[in-house]
Amino acid sequence: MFTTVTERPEPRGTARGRAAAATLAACVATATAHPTLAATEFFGGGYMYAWSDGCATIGWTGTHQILARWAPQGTPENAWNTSHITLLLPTGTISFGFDTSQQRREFQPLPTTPSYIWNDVWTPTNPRMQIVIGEGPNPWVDQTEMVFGLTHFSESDSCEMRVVLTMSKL
Amino acid sequence: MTRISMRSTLRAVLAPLALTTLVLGALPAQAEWLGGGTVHSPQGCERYGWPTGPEMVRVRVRNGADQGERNSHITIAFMVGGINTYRIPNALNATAWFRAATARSVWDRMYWLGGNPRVRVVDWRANDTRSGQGGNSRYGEFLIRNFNGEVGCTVTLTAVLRNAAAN
Repeated sequence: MFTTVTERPEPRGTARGRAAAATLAACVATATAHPTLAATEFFGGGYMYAWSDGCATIGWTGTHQILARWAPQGTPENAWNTSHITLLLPTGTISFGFDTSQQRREFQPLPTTPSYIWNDVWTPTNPRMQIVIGEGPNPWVDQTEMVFGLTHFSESDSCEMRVVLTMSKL
Repeated sequence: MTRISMRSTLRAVLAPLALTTLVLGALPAQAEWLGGGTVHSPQGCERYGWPTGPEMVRVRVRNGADQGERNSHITIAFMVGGINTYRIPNALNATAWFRAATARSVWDRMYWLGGNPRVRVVDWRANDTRSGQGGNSRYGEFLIRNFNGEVGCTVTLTAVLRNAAAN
């Protein structure tokens, strides 16, 4: 049964907020002090899911909550022709470059070798993962959405994943 | 070599995931939405020191309309650890007004969040329509007033989510 908030015991709410705020503020300070921080950077999150049946054979099924960082190309102090994105999955991290200038609705090779970081950094010698972005995400707004497909996901034979993100400009 | 390690890591998480799927499978379709986004555009939060800018978050949502329940639930998991969960009356349809929320947080323990938390559903709609996945996808935008027990602090939560029961 829904009751009004005025009936709730409330004494610790604000105190908790302050305690958490102090801890969180320290984390934020650390994050912004990162030396290689791109001048234009977005971060946010969303989900990814298996688009093709082949993903089940490498252990990827269902929906995965993810966080992401994105350094868009052609923005101040970023490369003009390569965007970089890092997908922070619950189990590990995948980072790669891609090019949104073509805006083709077909898969294109990644301009940089993807890095897969689980218990070690794996940079495949003959990378096969490719990306398709139908509509280039807009890096000139404070809040942006991004949808893309990854074929040969995790360098697999037949797994295509779909990634859906919303991100804020840092 | 590393590839094999990665896959065995995935196998290790598959068992718990399978269990989760079984439990979810017993619930009505679209009982839970799963995704992430940011808590951003803080206003009036300066004196609390947080949030000062966008925060990456994972998000779970239950829409009362999906399972014939009276309330909807929005749960925000912050990257640094810690959770805020907001319960608001009725289905997640966009409204011009704020709804009184019941809010709790978990940090070192569970706290009831006072300070009259209120939530306005600004947007709740299908977003992954180009993939033919409109029915399984949602874009959600929420204004949260008196966020995290901080009176006078308003933030925006923007998230994209997918039906957890979808394969």
